[in-house]
Amino acid sequence: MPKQSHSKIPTPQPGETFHWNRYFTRRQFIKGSAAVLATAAAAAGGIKTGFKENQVAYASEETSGKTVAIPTICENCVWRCGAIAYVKDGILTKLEGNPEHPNSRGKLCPRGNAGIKVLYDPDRLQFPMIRAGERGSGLWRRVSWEEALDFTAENMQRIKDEHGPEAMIMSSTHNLTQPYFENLLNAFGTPNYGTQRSLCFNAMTIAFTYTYGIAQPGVDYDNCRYIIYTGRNLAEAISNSETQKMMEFAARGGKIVVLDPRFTITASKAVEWLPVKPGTDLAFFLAVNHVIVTEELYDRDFIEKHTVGFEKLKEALQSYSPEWAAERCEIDAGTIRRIAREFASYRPAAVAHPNWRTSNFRNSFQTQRAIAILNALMGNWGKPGGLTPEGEESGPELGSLPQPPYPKVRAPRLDGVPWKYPLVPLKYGVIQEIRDALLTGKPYQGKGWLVYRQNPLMSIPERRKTLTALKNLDFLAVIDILPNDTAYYADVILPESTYLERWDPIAPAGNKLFLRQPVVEPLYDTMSGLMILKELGKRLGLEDYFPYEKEQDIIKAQIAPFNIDFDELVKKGFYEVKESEDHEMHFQTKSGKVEINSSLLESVGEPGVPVWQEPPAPPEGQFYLLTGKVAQHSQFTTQNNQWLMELTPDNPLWINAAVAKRLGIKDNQKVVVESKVGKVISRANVTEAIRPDCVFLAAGFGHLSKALTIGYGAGVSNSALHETNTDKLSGCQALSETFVTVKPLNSEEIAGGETS
Amino acid sequence: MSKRYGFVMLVYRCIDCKACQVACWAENEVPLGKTRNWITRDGYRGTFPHLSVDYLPGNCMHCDNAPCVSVCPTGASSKREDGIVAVNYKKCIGCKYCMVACPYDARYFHPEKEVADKCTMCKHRLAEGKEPACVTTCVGGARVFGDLNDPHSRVSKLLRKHRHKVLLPEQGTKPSIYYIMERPQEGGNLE
Amino acid sequence: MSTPVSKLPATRPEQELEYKKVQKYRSLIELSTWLVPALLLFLGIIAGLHIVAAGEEALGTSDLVPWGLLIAAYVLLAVTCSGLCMISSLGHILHIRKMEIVLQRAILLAIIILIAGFATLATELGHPLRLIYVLFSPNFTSGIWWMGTIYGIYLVALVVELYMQQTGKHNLARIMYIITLILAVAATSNLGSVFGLINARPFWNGPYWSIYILITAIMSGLAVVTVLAWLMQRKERGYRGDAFRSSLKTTSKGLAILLVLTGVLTFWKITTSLYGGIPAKELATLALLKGPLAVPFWLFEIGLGIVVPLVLIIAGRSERLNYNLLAALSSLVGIVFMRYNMVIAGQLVPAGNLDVQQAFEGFANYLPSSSEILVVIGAISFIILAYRIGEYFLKLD
Ligand SMILES: Nc1nc2c(c(=O)[nH]1)N[C@H]1C(S)=C(S)[C@@H](COP(=O)(O)OP(=O)(O)OC[C@H]3O[C@@H](n4cnc5c(=O)[nH]c(N)nc54)[C@H](O)[C@@H]3O)O[C@H]1N2
Ligand SMILES: Nc1nc2c(c(=O)[nH]1)N[C@H]1C(S)=C(S)[C@@H](COP(=O)(O)OP(=O)(O)OC[C@H]3O[C@@H](n4cnc5c(=O)[nH]c(N)nc54)[C@H](O)[C@@H]3O)O[C@H]1N2
Ligand code: SF4
Ligand code: SF4
Ligand code: SF4
Ligand code: SF4
Ligand code: SF4
Ligand SMILES: [Mo]
Repeated sequence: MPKQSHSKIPTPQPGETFHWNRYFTRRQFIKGSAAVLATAAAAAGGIKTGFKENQVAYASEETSGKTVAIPTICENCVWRCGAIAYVKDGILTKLEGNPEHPNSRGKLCPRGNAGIKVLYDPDRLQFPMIRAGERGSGLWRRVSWEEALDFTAENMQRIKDEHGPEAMIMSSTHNLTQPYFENLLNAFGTPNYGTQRSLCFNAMTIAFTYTYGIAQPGVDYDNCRYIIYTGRNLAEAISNSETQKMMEFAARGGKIVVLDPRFTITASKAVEWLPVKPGTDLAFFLAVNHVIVTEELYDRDFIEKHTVGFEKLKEALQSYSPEWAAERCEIDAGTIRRIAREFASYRPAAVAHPNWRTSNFRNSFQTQRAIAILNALMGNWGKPGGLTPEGEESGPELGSLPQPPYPKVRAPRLDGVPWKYPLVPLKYGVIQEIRDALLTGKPYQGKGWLVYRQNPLMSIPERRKTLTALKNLDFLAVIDILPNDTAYYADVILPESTYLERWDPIAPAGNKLFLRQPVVEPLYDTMSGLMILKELGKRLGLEDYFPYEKEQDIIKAQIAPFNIDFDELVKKGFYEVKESEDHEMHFQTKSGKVEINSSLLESVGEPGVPVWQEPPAPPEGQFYLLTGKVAQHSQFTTQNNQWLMELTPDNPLWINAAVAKRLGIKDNQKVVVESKVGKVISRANVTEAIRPDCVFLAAGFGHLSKALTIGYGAGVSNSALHETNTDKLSGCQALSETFVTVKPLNSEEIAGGETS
Repeated sequence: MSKRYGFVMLVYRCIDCKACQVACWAENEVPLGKTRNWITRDGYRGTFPHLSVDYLPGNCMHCDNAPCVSVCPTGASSKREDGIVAVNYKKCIGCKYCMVACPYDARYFHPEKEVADKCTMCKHRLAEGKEPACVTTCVGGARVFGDLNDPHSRVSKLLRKHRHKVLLPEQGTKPSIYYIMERPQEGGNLE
Repeated sequence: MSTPVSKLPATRPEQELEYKKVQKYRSLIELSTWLVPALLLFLGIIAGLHIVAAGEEALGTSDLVPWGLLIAAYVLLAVTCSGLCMISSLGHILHIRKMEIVLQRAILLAIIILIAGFATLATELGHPLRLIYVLFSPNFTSGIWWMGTIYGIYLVALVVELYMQQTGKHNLARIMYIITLILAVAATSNLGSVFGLINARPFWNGPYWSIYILITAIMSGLAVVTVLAWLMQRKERGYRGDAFRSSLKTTSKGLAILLVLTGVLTFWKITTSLYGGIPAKELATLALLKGPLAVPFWLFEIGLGIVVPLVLIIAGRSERLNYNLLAALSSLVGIVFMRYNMVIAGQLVPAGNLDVQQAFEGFANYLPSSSEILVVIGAISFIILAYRIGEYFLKLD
């Protein structure tokens, strides 16, 4: 019988040195039953039942054998669905969607459902540790929190003293505690902030910001009739509530058009799938705009009242006929013309979706601008069935804790914002440039890096470079929940409690304020991000920026303006704020209007309206390497999740059936995939569902960390293959601009293995 | 009239996300490596770029004429009044005859309980007035559950309005899961 | 056991020495014929306990192929048992004297084989009591219930029969012969129906296997009786030795006829399955012909099971005793695989493939685990051991 054998190896005691590869030697099997989880957890770290802080919720039911329901928020991706945790005798048995939460609407996606296996992952980081051998040697020493925090703060202070605060890089991916991470960063005085954004949605958010003043508008699915998605794969790159709404929209007979070189599941639900040639979406949208403008199918009223620069657009579009576009994007001119007319006939209930991970080509920013403008032509802003003017972080204004102003930054940023990338917002940054600056030492040499909830080693293209950059650092600290790849090469690891064991700041959603709270006590010797940051701040003499004693102080301050009882919030999990309904047509752009012609772009010497920008194409015999998500995994995080790995254990290389035949590649056969910067050995998924000039590798696999007993050795990394190509306007990494060769694996090459 | 529970699968709405599978594993403590429900893909139809594909959610069909029930030597498997085909673990001797006899491969052997196991329609949830776990979490909205005998239930309405089929009708099992394969017409409705 | 040395004729000293050496050698062989099966039985029991303790993990079976080698072995043993009985009962009822001579031994052997069969089944179920529980919670529509119950009664009947023989109640024994014959036929064809009733496995579905199992039961019965007769004729001299030899020739002739019959049945089973247009049936057949079961099928079931014994019997015109023995042994090996192939082939095609719309995604996997194999070896060892013990304690002539 598969038994959880992990507990047989004793947990290292503080001060004890151990080796990842020995400590976590084999794949673990945990039985499905809660009872076994309980024993496993108890054996591994000592589980405590009952609660101190959260008495209100279920004090009376402690260890009664009864199941209690605790509302909280999912953190298996950035969508933050409201969840309800069912806990029996201190054991989490089930996670369900909170029907009150607009992001979950009572449902969880597969990753959300599998949150239990995040909590009970036997490979989790269980205590603070300091490197005891070479970087990446797998040798660690368990230390006390005191020692780990002191060590981290001392090193940060040393770097600050010797090289200035700017020699310290701090990076973090979207999370609820991020404001306090930014507090640490700003108070410390470094401008070098790395986020995932330049690998993700910079093209979209910047394009929409400069057009509408809002980064990430939503879609009024309830009233919409026609949606064009451009490489937005909602059925697999799940945004829970939006995915649900898309399917409701589709089932209602709403028309979906999908541009994607792959026949994604979203494409399979579409009325029309346009297997666009990668990078040429811009041509398609220029032509659609061309048809709409020349045939005067646009919303004249909206254009006149709320936009600037229409005439310039009209002029610029002249040459972009559907015939012109067809030659480039390989979509029939007749189809383009028909779609443009159909689309316009539904306005304003017609939306060209802003999409999400638009980091595909250096011209993606222009594509997004063309898309933003197409929506303006439809006059769909704030109209039923149109774009909804809710930003990325909209919602009621929360209370805050008083804190001193930040010190002045004395150095330019390593990533070139704004001196090299004048249009990229400071909060976004260009993380791949930070990596490159570490290698070139220009404009100065970065010395240390604090990584919080991010896995840059896996997410930034050209992994080999990133690894070298990390290895060259004086100091690397990681705050994570798993021994992920970046952590594997760190000097010190500060283990955060998982989202099921900690308090985080309030998360507004719509007009509701939601609370993340622990549903079980921390299983191991871990801390919440808020407390880790505070403790670091304290040691760096920056205590004033963390004016809280415990996490709840922040939450109480945040809800102060709303007159909510904290205990009630804990019990209910959310608070509904009365919303003032005003959709005034005011745009936070320079002109206060929708900028069809962008004054900002003009101010940096770029054309103010989108123009054609030819994307590179693979030479003969090579393929576009595409990347993207699968529904069962989140980024580079969930490949050690027992359940999710059972569903999707690796990422085979999609290759077109006709091409595979020509190359003599059979389904499931091993293939060598090689780009200018790397080489991996993958398994072929021979399929009809991809263009003949493309191959596809899902993101997330090919981990370097040997401490992930399930994830290590599963699939391959496309970051190992990706070249770094950054758009100079948006800072956006072009993840589809890497070209690869594919050939069947012959025996000599087996020895080679994956190069990173 | 007594209840007769069943599922209607709106095949078009299934996005193959498999949330239903994970939810069922958690809800029913399904042992690792086993599953009570699944999504099957017929494979892509056509060649690039003229393609279509369907994803069929499935679980035990709770057959009205269930071979697993008739072959079970001890009567551990039985068809209940409300349509649920249930397994009584106490009576099951683990002979696996039912597994061999089920044309839908709906059953698995429970390695710890050493009995044949399968979808229970989450009868413990039904008792609490909740829908089955897989239905509650279905992201695409493909899984619809209800009382087939109640003409006002959503399942009954869907079945009245749309053409539907069962899987392997020639097996004569009379399943309680109906599949609606229709794609929505523009401006039409899959409701 | 070996003959006491004192009873031997006087010899010259060097001869004496030589003889003692040979004698020692012989008794070593003799001893090992006890020790080896005992050891294998021991290993089988350990493997069985391992299966009972570890459950599914110790088996090669999966949810797609729930029935594995142990079920095949049960079928093999149960069917051999009833085949043996049919032969001996028939011999007795029809007063075929040549056959009557092995009668008591055949009954004893049948009992032992059936016990071994039930033991393998209980091992598979993981719990001996579960087997008995079936009787107390009957479901009359279940093929297994009938099969289990009839075989259960049958076992009791066999024991009663043996008891009557041993205690010399020949008239009652004669009635028992008829009863056990009826039970044997019922049990055997019922066992076939356990498979035949399954719609979900088109390869099994229908009356074919009931008939096939009945015919091959007699075949395996004949093969065992042949082996038995060969062993007896080696031991016995004079009139009895001749009787055994002559019955050996008769059973071999019978065996040859049944081998031909089985071959013909198999041929038509395959032909109709391939032409039937039922995908799952066709695929299961292809699994035998050129799929994962090709070696067990062609080499063992057809080669060793049918062709080799036929050739041997024909070549020796059923007169050459050693040829007959080899033919019987070879066919017995073949029969093991016959059962195995039948049980496994039916399951190798995942049930999903009943749906013609669905593409065939490859055969399911099944390979018996070492524990399963050891249990079967243990069961056979048990049969040898128990039989020898029986022979030692009972008056079987
Ligand atoms: N090849 C390729 N590259 C890509 C992409 C792609 O599709 N293909 N996608 C791009 C996109 S869209 C993005 S957004 C980025 C994402 O890039 P990253 O943000 O670098 O990647 P994640 O996997 O999200 O990293 C999250 C880390 O946080 C840890 N973590 C999870 N939960 C917690 C927690 O509660 N607390 C703490 N402290 N840590 C936690 C995880 O273990 C993991 O190490 O990658 C980009 N890079
Ligand atoms: N299950 C799951 N859901 C997630 C995430 C996750 O990790 N897992 N991550 C979340 C995050 S951080 C993000 S950013 C979003 C991303 O959400 P999306 O942007 O929808 O998803 P991706 O899968 O990154 O990429 C989508 C598609 O872009 C296509 N593509 C590549 N190049 C081109 C091109 O040149 N033109 C066109 N038209 N298409 C192209 C790829 O084939 C791929 O199908 O998903 C979010 N949701
Ligand atoms: S979309 Fe899925 S993983 Fe993301 S927050 Fe919602 S349930 Fe969790
Ligand atoms: S689907 Fe299979 S297990 Fe379920 S009732 Fe029908 S025959 Fe029985
Ligand atoms: S395994 Fe259990 S439920 Fe299935 S037929 Fe045998 S006794 Fe009945
Ligand atoms: S009804 Fe319940 S047991 Fe059946 S598949 Fe759905 S979740 Fe699993
Ligand atoms: S949860 Fe719903 S949409 Fe997702 S795979 Fe299951 S049935 Fe399909
Ligand atoms: Mo992203």
